[in-house]
Order: sequence, then structure tokens, then C-alpha cells
Amino acid sequence: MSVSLSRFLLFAVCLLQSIIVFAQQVEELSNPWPVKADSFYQGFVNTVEGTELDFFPFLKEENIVLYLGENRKYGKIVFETASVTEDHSSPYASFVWSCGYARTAEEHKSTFDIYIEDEKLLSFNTYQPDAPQDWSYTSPSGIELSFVTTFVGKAHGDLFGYMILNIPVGQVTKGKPVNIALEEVKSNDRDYYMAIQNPVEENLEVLAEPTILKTETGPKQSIMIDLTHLGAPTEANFSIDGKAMLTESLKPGGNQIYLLVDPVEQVKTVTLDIAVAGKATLSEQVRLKPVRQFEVYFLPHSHVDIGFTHKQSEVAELQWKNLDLAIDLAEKTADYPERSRYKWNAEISWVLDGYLKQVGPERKEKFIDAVENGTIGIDALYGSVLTGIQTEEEMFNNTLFANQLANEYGFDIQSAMITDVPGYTWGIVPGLAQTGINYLSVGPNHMPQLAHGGYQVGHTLEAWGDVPFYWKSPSGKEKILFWMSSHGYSWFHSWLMGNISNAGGTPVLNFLNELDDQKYPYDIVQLRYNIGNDNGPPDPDMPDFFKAWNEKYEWPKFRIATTMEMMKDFEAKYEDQIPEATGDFTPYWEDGVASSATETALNKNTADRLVQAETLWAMTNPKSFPKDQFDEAWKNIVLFSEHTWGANISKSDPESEFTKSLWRVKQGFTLDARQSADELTRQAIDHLAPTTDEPVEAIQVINTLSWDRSELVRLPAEWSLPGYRITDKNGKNRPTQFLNSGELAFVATDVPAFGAVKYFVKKGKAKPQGSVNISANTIDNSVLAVTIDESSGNITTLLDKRQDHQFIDAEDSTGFNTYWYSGLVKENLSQHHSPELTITEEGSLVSTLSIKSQGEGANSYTQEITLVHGLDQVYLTNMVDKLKIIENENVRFSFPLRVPNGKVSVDIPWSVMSPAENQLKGANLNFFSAQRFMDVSNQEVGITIATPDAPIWEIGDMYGQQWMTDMKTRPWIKTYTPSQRLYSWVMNNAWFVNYKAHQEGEITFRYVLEPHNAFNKAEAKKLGMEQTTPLLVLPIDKSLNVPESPFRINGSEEILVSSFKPSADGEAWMIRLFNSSDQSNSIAIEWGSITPAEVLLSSPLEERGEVVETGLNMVPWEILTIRAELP
Amino acid sequence: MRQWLIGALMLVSFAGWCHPVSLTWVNVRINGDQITASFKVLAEDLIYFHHLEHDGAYNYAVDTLKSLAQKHSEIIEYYFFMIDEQGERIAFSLASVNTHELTGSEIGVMDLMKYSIQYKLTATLKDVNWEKLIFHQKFDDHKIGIPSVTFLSAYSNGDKLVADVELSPGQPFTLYSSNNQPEVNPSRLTSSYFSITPFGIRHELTLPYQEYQVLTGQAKQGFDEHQTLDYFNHYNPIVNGHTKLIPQLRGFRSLQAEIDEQPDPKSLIYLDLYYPSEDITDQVIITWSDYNWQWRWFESTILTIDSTYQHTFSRYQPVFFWERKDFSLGAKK
Repeated sequence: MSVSLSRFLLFAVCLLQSIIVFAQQVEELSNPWPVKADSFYQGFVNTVEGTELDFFPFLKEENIVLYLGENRKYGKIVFETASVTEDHSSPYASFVWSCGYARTAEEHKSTFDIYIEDEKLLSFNTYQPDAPQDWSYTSPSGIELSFVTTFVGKAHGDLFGYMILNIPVGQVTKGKPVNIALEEVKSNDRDYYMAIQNPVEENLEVLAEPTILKTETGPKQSIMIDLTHLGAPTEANFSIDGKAMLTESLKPGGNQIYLLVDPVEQVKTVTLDIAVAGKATLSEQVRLKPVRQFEVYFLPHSHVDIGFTHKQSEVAELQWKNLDLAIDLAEKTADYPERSRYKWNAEISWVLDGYLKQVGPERKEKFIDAVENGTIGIDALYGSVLTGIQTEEEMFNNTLFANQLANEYGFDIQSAMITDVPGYTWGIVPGLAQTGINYLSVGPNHMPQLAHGGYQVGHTLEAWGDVPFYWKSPSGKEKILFWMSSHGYSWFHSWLMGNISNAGGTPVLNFLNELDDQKYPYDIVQLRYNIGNDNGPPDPDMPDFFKAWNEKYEWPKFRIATTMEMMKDFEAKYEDQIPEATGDFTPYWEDGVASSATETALNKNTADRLVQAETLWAMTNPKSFPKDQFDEAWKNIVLFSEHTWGANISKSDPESEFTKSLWRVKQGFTLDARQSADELTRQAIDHLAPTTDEPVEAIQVINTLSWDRSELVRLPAEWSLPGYRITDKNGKNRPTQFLNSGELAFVATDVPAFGAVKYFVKKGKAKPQGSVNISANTIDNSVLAVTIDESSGNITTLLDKRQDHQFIDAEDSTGFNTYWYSGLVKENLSQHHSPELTITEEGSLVSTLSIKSQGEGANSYTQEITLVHGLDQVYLTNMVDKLKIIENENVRFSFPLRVPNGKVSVDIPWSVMSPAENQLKGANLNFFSAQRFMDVSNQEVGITIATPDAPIWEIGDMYGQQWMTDMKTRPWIKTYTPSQRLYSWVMNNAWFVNYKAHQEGEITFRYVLEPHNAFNKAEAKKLGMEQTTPLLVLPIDKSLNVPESPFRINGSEEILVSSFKPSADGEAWMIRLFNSSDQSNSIAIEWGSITPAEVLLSSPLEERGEVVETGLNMVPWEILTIRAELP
Repeated sequence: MRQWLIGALMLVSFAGWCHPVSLTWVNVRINGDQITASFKVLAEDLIYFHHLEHDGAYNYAVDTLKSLAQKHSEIIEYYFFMIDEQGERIAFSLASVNTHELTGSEIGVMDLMKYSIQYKLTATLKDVNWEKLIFHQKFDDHKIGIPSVTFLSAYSNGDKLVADVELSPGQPFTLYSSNNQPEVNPSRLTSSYFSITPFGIRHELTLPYQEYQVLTGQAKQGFDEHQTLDYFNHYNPIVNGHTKLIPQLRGFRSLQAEIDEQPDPKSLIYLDLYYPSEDITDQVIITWSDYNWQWRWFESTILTIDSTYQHTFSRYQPVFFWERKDFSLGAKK
């Protein structure tokens, strides 16, 4: 190639590139409304490709945003315009759509390419302040693309407005839409472009604001006019009833104009006329109402997820920083008018526990001062817990740390917050009230675009949102003021309203109008206020916004408050008007705990083991009670019950290090708690066992519950025994059986409450005497008979010989104790099959029939059915050898019971609940959370199923995920349909966040079935507690006597002791009595080994109350704590 | 004298029972400069507007009704009109009257509301490029003694502009050619009228079809009588004295002038529920105990023998309690 040719080519290439560069330059827009055609077409009608988001508050119904950017997280969007009409005559076809794009956050701007009918039109950048906000670009072919800014986001300076595309008519196809695509070239993690599907149209919205403004001419009411103008800037004249009020300039897009009128004392309709230059006059009837004198209490806090978005340790540090920021902001605004002084609510006391351990002395002083002067509000719950999986005593430990703070620093703590979680077990009422907490602020999950207003919230918000009430306990002796915000906790998050200084007060005013329309009877309104996202920070702009607001408006007033302050003000004003309600608010999120069945079972059982350990310390060594270790163990149990199960990507990325690390910590809470419980138990009883290595010649069987018990006990295989014969203290032989496991079993009888029975181990063979018979498919004792169908592997008969009653509904095809596996809802439902029956334990004292079957989702499913001589219980142990499966799955066991017209009862902390009858409206009917048992009974006969490992149950059918059958309407059950068929819903993984995506290995679920005649709730409670509080077997020196019982309960057998432990100071016994009955009952305490110096009424706070002279009378479901001072 | 007064009282209450409010529906279609308004009027309105008396067996002759229907077109023409941008009144002219639903020889007073008459009216616009039209309905100027509400839907060149906006005397509606109307709170599309009479209690309810589905839990399209009655029996109990009344369904209509097989989700439907009672005692309690995110409250008019009440049923005031005031006629038990 010659030099001149090569130079020419080089010049041509450079010229071409410069032309391209020049042609790609956007220019500042000179025409404020650059629509070239007579009218425009909608620019975004149909989605073709891209990520759709539907939750933005500015979206109209059924419309979405197509989202692009965030550093290739969302790479491309494609959409279609409206079709160009066949009779289009204008030289251009103009298309307009709403959109927004980021102001670039970093040094390097982000770039997006836009394509028209697959031809690249332009590369444009995210907004930088030195660039024009309104711009235009014209391609060589005459296509013109413009952007008209209508709104600049206050938070980041992002631009929102209209994209206007003018295409010469020769380049469009009549009758067809135009295809528009945008692709990310490069962007930063925050930068985005969004195309908004809302129709671009002129719009007029008029709001008679529920406000009274302070003006120089006196108080005025305000009419807010939101007028969307599509056109070049122009003037508009506003008049009311013919009287000119205002002339205002209109810009393209939304225009907010305020007209002030004199306040009305009665409803009055006025005519608003808007004369826009060049257009017809708009007329609107405006209904003015008298303005209510609302005061809105905003409760600033951060919603604490202990995990989810960050590692647990990171959350702690974030929250400690939030606390410091809040304290500083409160100091800075201390001189502001009262309502706008900053305050902060700690939401959960876990934050404070860590904060106080690491904070320096100076900051600690500031914190203490802030609490004392009311700028930091302490809310008592340790975490936002899933109350449905908690036990009675665990409930009192929810507020343990808060009470310690109160004791140590003299803080006045009377309120609690629970956030995100929808639904709460009834036991939370005494759990709070008896620990000094009178108020509960509730902010459930809130997604207003979803049916029912939140994610899996059931009827929570629509039943109780903004309807405060006194929630009475099962006994009626306690009550708390319960107040749920219908906007949940997240209304001001960045993906909803955003900070109030950005959103302005209009959304709140609309909310107040709604309340007024519903005839909300109070003038105090609650709003939770937290910004950003979960674990978000305090809002530094809030005090100034509130100051300005209250300076401008007489009403409504906006106030920054703590929970306790708000509740006290409300109660002071409206105590006599607040309605009362009773019942269980059966919760909605507890199904997710079945995603980690092993750990859930472990935590539930550990809570009762911890209570047992406390009792052992009370029985053996109360003055050395290691309270701190117990407190830490309880905190771990509560932390496992806290609603944050894991990561926000737990289902979408279960193998990520983030997901795994969060689960390790979560799992660690219950493992540590169990380790502590075992260790504390060992410490309590170690001194009772002989220290030699000699064979065990004597044993003691210890009962840590308040009624005498007879149960099968097993001597561990590793014990060295002189023989296999056991005698009682009188030398009488007890039937014994040497098990295949190597354990020696016998039935200990009448082991006294809080006492022990001594037995001797003698030389000789085991003497299995009893009534248990077993064959290939049957097992029975003198009381019960069980039959298994060899072809199906289902239990087909459960006969109570005493009543001659068969408890299995043979006509129900679901099968008894059948393993059911499905996908989401009931997809691809299958049951176990190919059973192999084996006798795994054979003896007249105890026998076990084992059925090993195959089933979907598992290597195998094994049922073990055990009967024991002299006991009227069937012991079922189901073991699922689970496969690791990430696709949606459910595992259930079915129990179709034959109890004609039988009513279901569900064990809950501090009560027993009948569905519908003992539930608050809005409570969950799709599934239930059982504490320790389920029961189905009629007047004559019934059966209790103790369920120590599996808390989630369904009644009638597999209703648990039925609401997912229509994700638009989310049809949660509203009316309870009685049934005698139960499902134990043991495993699932359908949650798309938070809960675990898979569980595998051998997972065991135990059930104990006890037929009975008339249902006795106390007896059922006992059965449940016995499964999680086993008799303890310890070696004892044969010359020693067993310790004497410290006391016995005489009188009603329905009053149980739920807790017997040393006081914190080791000086007393704390005994918690619970009347587990629908009747009033009385007892007297008969002291045994020690007679207390004094017996006083008390509470879980262990204070010294009135002296108890004689017996105790208790109303139904009453909880009474007494303090017995040790001599 | 006393018997006459009691009879007069019963007649008034009975008349009130028949139809406590005049509800009509109109679809307005604008094509170029031509406007067509399709009116649907319930046969009961003929009784109110024209004071027709039934025979001894409480029946009305169909021929008489048909004749009255023709006459009623004058009222529609006179009291339904538009005002254009220049402030000029545009009247409609009757194009046709369709009484095909009035069949048989006679119709009982309790069945009147099951029948409707269709009126087609036309008008011509002066300016085909109209920007706004103000619709008026002034039926109560005819002194019928009961409220009247018209639900207006409007289409322009095939595009729906508005659906089921309320039009009533004193509440005109401005229709714009290019703007959408402001979004209305769904509860404004609802109208509810209870009437408490000696013969029982009637509840007339209009609401968007989509909300009807949400309330009754009906997943499939169409109408399920059983599910509807079950819903109102459970969530809207009415107690007369100490007796809970059981609802019956007297009517269900989809309120589009042309009745489609599948109601549009936003179109209104009309329910007429009847709670018969042999004797209305001194106390009636109407309760609304539902909780529904999409229908959290609604306003209702309650017409009784002695007065008209307005009550907002919501979670804060779920109960309307009526106690009969003393009557000197001694009709009170």
C-alpha cells in the first residue's frame, strides 16, 4: 500500500471515529417538551426481557419496573412501545416512557447502550453534576432521543423523568410496536437505569390534607394538588368556588401546588377549577372535612436481624455503631422543641448485651444517661423471637437480660418490641406481664403490594393493624397493651417510602385520612420508623424535618418517641376505651423451623433440660447455684428461637460461604445451650454418684417433676454391673430386660415428685416379666394393641382394650404414621412403600417392632413402635434417613384418628388451645405450633400425642402451603373446619430466604400416644413434660439413702410446678405453680427435707412479696411464683 | 282511624322495603360527535317515579309496567344531561326502549327488582374535539322521596375512559377526553344500603367484581350463590332482637349495560340480600366482622322506619345498633 493511501485511510478512520464520537454527543435540551408528533404513544407497554420489580410505591397497579445495572447484576432490559397506528400521519412517531437513572456514586461513571429495533442508537452515562439534566441526542438517521428531568432524588441526586423518542415515520412499521433495549456496558454496584411501566398521562389528584397550617393570617387548611402536566412549561390559575387563589407555573411532569383555605367545622364540598393556559379548565369537587387533631408518634429504631444481611458479628457492630450515632444525635438535638428531639429504640436487648460488654467507660456513661433521660428506649425482648417454638419457662427468659439491666442500673423498662414476625403465641402475655412488661409494640413484615399487606403474614395486619387492645392472658390475671402498626416496621425503607425528609409528609397524611375514614377513635397514631433496610442506621435528618413540620403545622403533630413513652401517653388518654381480647395469635412464620428439624428439636428439648438442671441444683445445692452459666444457656436458647435463621441467600445460594457461616453460628446457639445444660446437670449431680470404679450395685432414679412417675428406665450399656437383677428397697425383684442395645431396662414405679427411689443391682439374670406380646406385625400389652399392615407398612390398629376403642380411622386413606413426601404445596405427593417388618426388641417387659420402608427424598424411613409392660402409651420413633435435596420439598406424617366428633386441642405455653375457639381473629389456621402435645377428644374418649421433637402441625389436610396456590390472592384459611386427621409437618424448605435450603442424614422424630377417656388438660401437660424431662438414673453408694423430696404438692393434681430452681442469690427456692385446668383449684405445700424460713408470693423477677400463710387458691390457668427462703 | 294510619304506615314501610334507593347504570359511548347512552333501570323505579299501585294480590300487570316504562323515558331524557365546555346543556333524545325482560302477565311486588328496562339515548356534540363534558343526574328533582345514584361508565372511540363513577343529584361528574380521572379509593365504588322494615331487612350492595371475589373467597369466575350467602351469614350477621336472621339472595347482577358472561374485574356487581323476619322487634344489630386488606371499611346507609342513618363499618365500629323509637300509633310491641 502506498504511503499516501495508508495516510488517507488513517485519516478516514479518524474522521469516521470523530463523526461517531461527535454524533454520540448529547446536547443540553433546548425544547422543554420535545415531542415532535401531535400526540405520543406509550413508550413502555410490554416487557420482553429483563428483571422486573413490582414493589416501588410509585408504581400503579399491575405495572412494573425493568431494572438494569448494579455492575452486571442486571445486564439487559427489553420492552415494547404501543403499536404505531395504521392511520398515523405525523412525520414523526413519538414515544414517551417514564424512567430513572442513578447519579453516579463513584469516580467512574456507568454507561448504558440503548437500542432501537436492535440498532444501537446511543451510549449514555449515569448522571454527573456537570452534565445537563435535560439532554437530547439526534442520530444521523434523524432519530431523536431526549430526557426530560421531572424529579431529582433527594437521597442521591438520581434523576427521574421522561425519555422521549422521536422516530421519523419512515423508520417505523405501522401497526407494530417499536422494540427498545438497554444494555449495561459498565456500571458500579449502585448505579442503575430503570424503565417504569406506568402509563404516561396527564393526571390530577387532589387531596384535602388533614392539616392545619400556622399562617400569618391564622390557621388554614390545605388542599394539595398533584397535577401531571405533559407539555412545555405553562401557567395555571387555581380558583375555589370561583374565587381566584393562585397562579402557578407548571413544569413537565408532576407539579405539587398547595391552596390554603379557612378550616371547616363541618364537611363541605367546594369546586376547584384549574385553568391551564392552552387547555380546557379542569374542575374537581373537593370534600373538605374538619381536621382531626392527630399526633403521630414515630418510633425510630433499626430492625435487628441477627444475621440475614450480614454475619452475626457484623450485625452486632453495626448496631453498636447505630447506638452511638443515636446517642450523639440525641445530644445534638437536646435543645430542639420537645417533639423533635431525637430518640432511639433499641428494639431488642441483645444489642445492648454486646454493647455494654465492649463499650468504653465514657460511652457507657453516655448510654446510661441517655436511658435515664428517656432518649434511648430499651425494649425488653432479647430478640424478635418465633414464640411458637418457645416453651413456658423460655418465655420468661425472653426478658432476662432486660431485667438484669433494670436491676443493675435502675432502668424503668416496661415495653417490648417485636418486629417482622407475624403472630405470637398466647403465652407471651404472661411471659411479658409477669416480668414487668406492660406494653408490646408490634411491627410485622409489611409489603403493601402483596395481598394481606406483607409476606406470609396471613391475616395479621388486616385483623389488628392500628387496632390497639389489651391482650389478656389465659388466666385473665395479666394483660399487656398490644399495638400493631398496619404499616409494619419497614414503611420508610428505601425500597418503599424512603426517609421522611425525602418522601415528605404526604404519605403520612394519606394514612391519617385512611384512619379517619375508618373512624379510628384515637388521636394518637403509631408509626415505626427505620430507614435504608434491615439493620439500617438512625436518620440524621429526622429531627430537622420534624422541627420544621411542627413549626409549619398546628395539626397533625409529629413526635419522635420511645415505645414506652408512646404507650404511656396512649394509655393515659384512652385506658377506658381500649378494647380487650383473649386468645392465641397463632403465628405464621414458624413453619420455617422445619427446615432444620434436628436443631429445632434439640432446642425445644434443651429448654426443658435446662429447667431440669435448675431443679437439680435446687434439690442438691441451691446456695451454689451457677446463675451466670444458666443465664448464658437461656440466652442461647432464646437466640436460636430468634426469627433470623440464616442468610438472605440461604435458598438461592445455599453453598456460599456466607450462608454456611451464618448457619454455623445459628446452629451453635442450640449446640452450646445443650452442652451447657448437660454440663450444668452433671455439675448438679456429680457429687451424688460414687467415685470408685466398682460395679454399680445401687442406683437412684430421680424425678424432677412435681408428680409421681412410673416409666421405663435404662441403665447405660457402659456401666459395669454385678448382674442383671434389680430389686427395690424391700428386696423385691423388679422385672428387667436386657436390651439389644446393651442397656438394662426396667420400669421404675412411683418415683416421688422432686425425689428419688433407690434400687439395687444384684447378681443374676434379667427377669423379663410382663404382658408385652409381639409377632411379625402385632404388638400388644395388657392395655393396648397395635397392628401393622404388612403390605403398606402403615399402622392399622391402635386399640385401647380398656375402652375397647380403635383409635385409627380405617376408612381414611391417608394411613396412620404414613410418611408423605411432596414438592411445594402437595406437588407430586407420594408415600412410603416396600416395608420390611422386623422385631428389633422382644421381651415381655418391652418389645419393639420396626418397619423400614422406602420413600421419596430419603434413603429410608423407619418406624419403631414400642410397648412397655404396665404402661398405657405407644412409643413411636420415626427415623428419616434424609437425602440432600434443594428443590422444594415437604415431609409429613399423617395421623387420621377415629374419635367421633373429636375436638382438637393444641398445647401452647401456659394454656391449651382449641382452634377457632381460643384464637384471636386473624390467627393462623393453616398450621399450628404445638409446645409438647396435640390431642383429639370427644366427651368420652380421646388420645394425646406427645410431640417432643416436631412442633408444626396441620389439622384436616396439608394446609400449610395452601396459601401459595395463588400468589396473587394468597388464600389463607379464614374459617376453621374441624377434623380428626392430623399431620405432623416435620420437614420443609420452601422459604426463599432465611431458612435452610436442605437437611440430610438421619433425623428422628419421637411421638408418644396415650389413649384416655375424658380429656384432662393437666394430664396431657404431664405427658408432654415427661417426654422432655426424663427420669434420671444415677449410681449411688449402696449405703446411702436417696435425698428426701424438698416438698410435695397436696391437693389438686392439676396444679403443676413448671419451674423449681434456686433464686439468683442462692438464698431461696423459686417455685412456679401453674394451674393447668379450666377449673379453679387449690393446693397446699408439704415441706420435706427443708422447711423454709418464710414463704412469700413472688414472680419470675424473684421479688419478696406477701407472706403465704396457708394453702393457695388458683384460678384457671393461673401462674403463681412463690419464694421459699432457705433457712 | 287507627287502622287507616297503621295501613298507611305499612304502605310507607312497604314502599321503602321495595327499593330504598334508585340505582341506575349508564354506559356512555362517544364516537366522533355522536354519543350513545345505554341506561339500565330496575323495574322498581317505575313504582317510585310513577306511584303505581299494585293490585290486591300485590302484583303489577306487565302491560301497565311496559306502558310506564315508555313514559319513564321522559324522566331519563329530562333529568340526565351534559354540560359542554361552553356551558351549554346537551340533552339526550330517546332512541329506543327495551322491555324484553318484562314477560308474563304480572309481576309480584317482591320480584320487581329482578327486572330491568334498557333505554338507549343519543346526543350530538357540537365540537368533535371536545376536551371535557360534565354529566348531571337530577332524578330526585322529580320528588321521588328516596335517594338516587347512577353509575356511569364512559368510552371514547372504543377506549374506556372511566368505569362506574357515582353520579347523583348535587354530584356531577366531569369527563375529560385525554386525562384519566383521578384514582378513586375502591371503597368509593361501593354503595351499601340496608333497609329495616316490618317484613325483614334488605341489604343492597354494589362493589367491584374483583373485591366481591376477594371477600367471598371465590377463585373462579362467575357467581357462587352458596359461597356468597355463606360469607354474609358469617361475616355480616344481622340479629333481630335475639334472633339471628338468615340471608337469602334475591338478586345478583353484573352492572355492565351489556351483560357479559365473564364480568370485568373492575366492573360493579350488585347484590340484593334479604333477611326475612316475621316481625321486626325493637332492636336490630348489624355487625361487620370481616378483616380484609383490600376492603377494610365501607360506608353504608341504613334506612329504617323512623330515620336514615349513615354508618361506617370498620374494625373500630363493626356494629350498627338500631332501636325503634316510640310511636304513638302503638305499633311497637
